[in-house]
Amino acid sequence: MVRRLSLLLSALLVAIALPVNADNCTLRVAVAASFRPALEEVLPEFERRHACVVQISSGSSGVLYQQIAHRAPFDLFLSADRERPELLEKQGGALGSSRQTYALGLLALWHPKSESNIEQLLQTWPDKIVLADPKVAPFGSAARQALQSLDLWKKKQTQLARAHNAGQAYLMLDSGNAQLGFVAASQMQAAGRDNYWLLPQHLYKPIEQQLLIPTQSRRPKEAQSLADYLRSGEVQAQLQHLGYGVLPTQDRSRDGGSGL
Amino acid sequence: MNIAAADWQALWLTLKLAGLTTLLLFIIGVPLAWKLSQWQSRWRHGIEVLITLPLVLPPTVLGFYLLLLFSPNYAPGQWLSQLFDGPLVFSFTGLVFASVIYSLPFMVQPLLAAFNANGQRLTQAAAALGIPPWAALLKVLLPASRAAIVSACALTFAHTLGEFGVVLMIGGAIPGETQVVSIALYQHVEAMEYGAAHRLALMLMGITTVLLLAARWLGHRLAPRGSNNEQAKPVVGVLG
Repeated sequence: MVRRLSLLLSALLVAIALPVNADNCTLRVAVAASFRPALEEVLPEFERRHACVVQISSGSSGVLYQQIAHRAPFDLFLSADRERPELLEKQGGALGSSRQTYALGLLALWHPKSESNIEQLLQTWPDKIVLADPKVAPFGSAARQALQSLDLWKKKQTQLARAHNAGQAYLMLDSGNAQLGFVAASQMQAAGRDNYWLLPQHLYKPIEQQLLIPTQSRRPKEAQSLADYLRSGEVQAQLQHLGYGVLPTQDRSRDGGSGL
Repeated sequence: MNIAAADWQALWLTLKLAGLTTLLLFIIGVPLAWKLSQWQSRWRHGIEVLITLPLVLPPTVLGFYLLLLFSPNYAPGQWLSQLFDGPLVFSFTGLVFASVIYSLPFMVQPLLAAFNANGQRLTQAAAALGIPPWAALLKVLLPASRAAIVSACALTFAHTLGEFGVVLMIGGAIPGETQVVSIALYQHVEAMEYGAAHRLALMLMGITTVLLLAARWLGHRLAPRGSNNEQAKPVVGVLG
């Protein structure tokens, strides 16, 4: 009985592990959880053009970085920051010079609906202020820089509640457990909310989101096509509607318009 | 081992949280397990399953529902906030509240097993001698279940020490208030400070190992001698 069950189980596992069609093209993409919705928005068009199925694994950039550094079988890595792809490249985990910026995150401040003078509100806010953990989350460190630029970082120190990442910061605010906090503009756009203030971009260092092709990629060519597609004018225009910024020009100059 | 001040603070906070949770759960768990063991009803199984549910839900999901429970947008959150004199989210009180739910099965299950094994027999014997039920619990049943009590407390304490997902959702990582060891540890890992992570993990595991060994030893010491009943064996390891 046990043997029969284990046979059945192994057969099932094998069936799951095998792609539906062995000679089909599947591209395995590791994407930061925050960018997943945007990626899913623009993928169908790419899949249509390239006859390649994209398999998404999403998680925190830190965890994905760990996995890829330990040779997890991904063809493309879309991080939510610049640091981790840089680190991977330094450690020899990147294919050639595949590291590029593909999106620019914008920092937003969620505020109560009826407010008008947001900057003043932030100055005088007596209650908790939520932000992603500045130590590990890109939107957290951007929020810290913005607060430092506004000369509020030290003043508000005791009021800061650190969520683990931008996603959790959003959850804190959305569930009503906090009324003021730093999130990503893309989250607000995705939820169709307008009660946010876009922080002036000079208050914080650009939140560059970078991608790279890991050395273990089995489909570097298709991965490069997807990278080019993400950086193409049409996708970038879509991303701006989804709450992302305009890519810095020096990054656009290396425009590999292949696959379009 | 040079451990940063913030990590010591986290360690102390964690011990405080685990200790307080264990104490509260003992006060809640004993009458609950006793009532359940005495109760002859179909509903009993339903309640037992309900108590087991915190084991089933992923901790972050449990944290998510606690977040909704604490929310001032809804009646329960408003009521809790009045009861505890302030919002539960981002507060130590909130962590204690969450840990009591999170570790409930670890306290109740071992006690229930012990009470089921000889609760009926002992309370009936006590009743025959004219001892009222509550006195029978305190004077007869609890002393007879010492080993199980030690196990239940040790498990609850250890389980709360390692609590992570729930705290991640409702804590806010405020130093000295909600930044427990597991959170500090994960922050080290995420920030790629592996040395600090290893040291803290080692501390946490060391403390837990010593604690569980001490509990086993105590359990063996406290097992009533000369009686050959099954329940005396500590249940550490059955659940853990």
